[in-house]
Amino acid sequence: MSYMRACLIALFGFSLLLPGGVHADETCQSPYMPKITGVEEFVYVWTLGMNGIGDGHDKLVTVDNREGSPTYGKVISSVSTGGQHEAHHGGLTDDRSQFWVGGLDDSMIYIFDIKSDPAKPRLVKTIGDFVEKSGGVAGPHGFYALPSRMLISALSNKDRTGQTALVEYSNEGTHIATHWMPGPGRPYAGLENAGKADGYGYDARVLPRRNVMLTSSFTGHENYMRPLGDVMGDKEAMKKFGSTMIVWKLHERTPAKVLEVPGVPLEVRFAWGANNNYAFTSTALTSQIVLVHEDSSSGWQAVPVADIGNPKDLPVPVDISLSSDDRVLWVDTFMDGKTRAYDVSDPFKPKLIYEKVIGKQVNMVSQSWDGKRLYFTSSLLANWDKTGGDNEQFLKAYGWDGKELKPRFEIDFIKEGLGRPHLMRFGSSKLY
Amino acid sequence: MTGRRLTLFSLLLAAATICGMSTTLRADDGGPALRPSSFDYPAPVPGSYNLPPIKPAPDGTVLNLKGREISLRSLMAGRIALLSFFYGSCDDAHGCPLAIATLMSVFQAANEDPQLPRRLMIISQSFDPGRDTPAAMAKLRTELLDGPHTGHHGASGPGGGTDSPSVPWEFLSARSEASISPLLQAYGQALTRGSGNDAEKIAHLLRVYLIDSNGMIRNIYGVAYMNPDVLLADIRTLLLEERAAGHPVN
Repeated sequence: MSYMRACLIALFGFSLLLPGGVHADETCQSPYMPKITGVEEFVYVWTLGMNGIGDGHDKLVTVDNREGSPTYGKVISSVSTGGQHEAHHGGLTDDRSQFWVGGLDDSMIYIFDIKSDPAKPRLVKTIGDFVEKSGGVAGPHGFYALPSRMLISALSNKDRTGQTALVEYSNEGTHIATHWMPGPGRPYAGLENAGKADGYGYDARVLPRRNVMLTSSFTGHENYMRPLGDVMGDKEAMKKFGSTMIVWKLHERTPAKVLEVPGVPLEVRFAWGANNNYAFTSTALTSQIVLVHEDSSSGWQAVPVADIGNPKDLPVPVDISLSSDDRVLWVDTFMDGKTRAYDVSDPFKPKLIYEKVIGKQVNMVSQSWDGKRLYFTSSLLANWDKTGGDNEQFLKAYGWDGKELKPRFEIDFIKEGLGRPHLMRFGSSKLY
Repeated sequence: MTGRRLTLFSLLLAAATICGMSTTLRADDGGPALRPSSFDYPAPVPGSYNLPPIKPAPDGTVLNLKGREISLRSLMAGRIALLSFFYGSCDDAHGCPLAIATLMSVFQAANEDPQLPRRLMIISQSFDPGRDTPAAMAKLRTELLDGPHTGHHGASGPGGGTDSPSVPWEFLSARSEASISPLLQAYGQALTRGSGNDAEKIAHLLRVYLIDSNGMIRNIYGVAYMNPDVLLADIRTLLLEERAAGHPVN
């Protein structure tokens, strides 16, 4: 057994039997789950239904990534959920037996078994009462594995505004607790900088060894389900976006400090290094990379460390992905369809080392544990995607040699009758 | 095989006792960059937070050290319980041995607390009944609890200290893999039994369950939570909750 393998086994608490050593997944997963350090066999894509495309329903699409397989680079499974729910994000349970995905519009949650046959996910449970059970939270967005439970970061509430919460479910699918984001009318004792809390939510990530959870902020149903042009032209609507991040005490699930991060901070990615007490986010409207770091004297701080493209052009940074060695940060910008790689060896001084146009629009990026394979999908939100000829909908897979992205395969999700591909997660039969 | 297992545990316990859990958990000494290593934060203040019920603790029939079938839940008998599933041949230093070492730290600290020996119990339930027979469990228990490093006050049986009460620590087996399987599934304890050259290994997630005196699971710990100070804070939070609810605290 290699030292790496031993350490990963130790870290993630899952002793794998496989001689090949398959532990990892992309680098942005919960620290509580086993990872695939070898080559991912399958890419699961949570896909929005499009009217007139296939059955028009949201679906979980499985792509074969096994080189040498007769179906390599092809869709090998598609499971419809019957309807359009505004498919968006999802997450694997800590034992990687299930893939939970959510709908931002109607708050439906679908749970797929990916263990029994990783090549053919099977819908095994549907949660239709998320709003009721959570006490009025709506728009289940992020799904993040904690031990034997799922932490769901939501975007909205039953009134469709952006005041929202973190919601915990057991892996069996029962509600455990709801933790409302601090904001107007929702005070928390001892919360530092409480007056700036805005109540919005988006992502939630944890750094267990510092007992820290970090959340970011977006907007509510009243905005994310409207056409983007309408929202951008509505001054009042544009005031209803998040401009904060919250540092929480993880174990206690209590907010400790409000960080002011103007411009809608979205994805949160903690560094992996054992002594790297920091995370990155990007701001959608101000187009910046923001470093959230722990200062020995002042505690957790948020500081912009780089512009992404020209902020005046509104490139709209969306997904980001940090390599497992904390050296490379990939940043997708939706409007120009680009991905950019930054050398973040010095997290305070990101250096742009590569950029490439992936398509007319691009949103999500996922990378393998070794950073040698990257996958991109195109859709942002049903009503925010580009239209006409610019509405490309694809999954594109690349190899990365440290200098250049080289195409491996791509799938046109419209030609295939699938829809708008969004979040990706990796699977492997060798995990079980 | 049994002797090797016991030696492994002894060494690990000694390391944990001498070096402290933080050292045991470190993974940054030249290996890959890894996130959860030592716990460099103070444990939360008991009672300053909530532990919402997760689900009722499932019950099942298991074997005690005498080879008698007993109900797992009845064993808890109104106590707060820390339940850990494990197997004695586990050679992953951050797997079962880590769980045992963490529980040992909790055990030692709890025995110094005037309340906990009467309100807390620890249960180590094997999921490898073929090798972890009642006799093997009894031997393991003796090795673990009768050493001078344990702070245990003369353990001749559960809670059977001669000087002062000690936290009961039960080691349990099962009739067969088939008989323990439903219990594991009900708790959500994921594992895969090996085959071929790996037939002796059992791939599993490390899980420890905190169960309140009403039989509700109140927390579930993984590797990143194997901090004895945090477990103790949670236990004391439940004790404060019991007191607030008027439960007689001995």
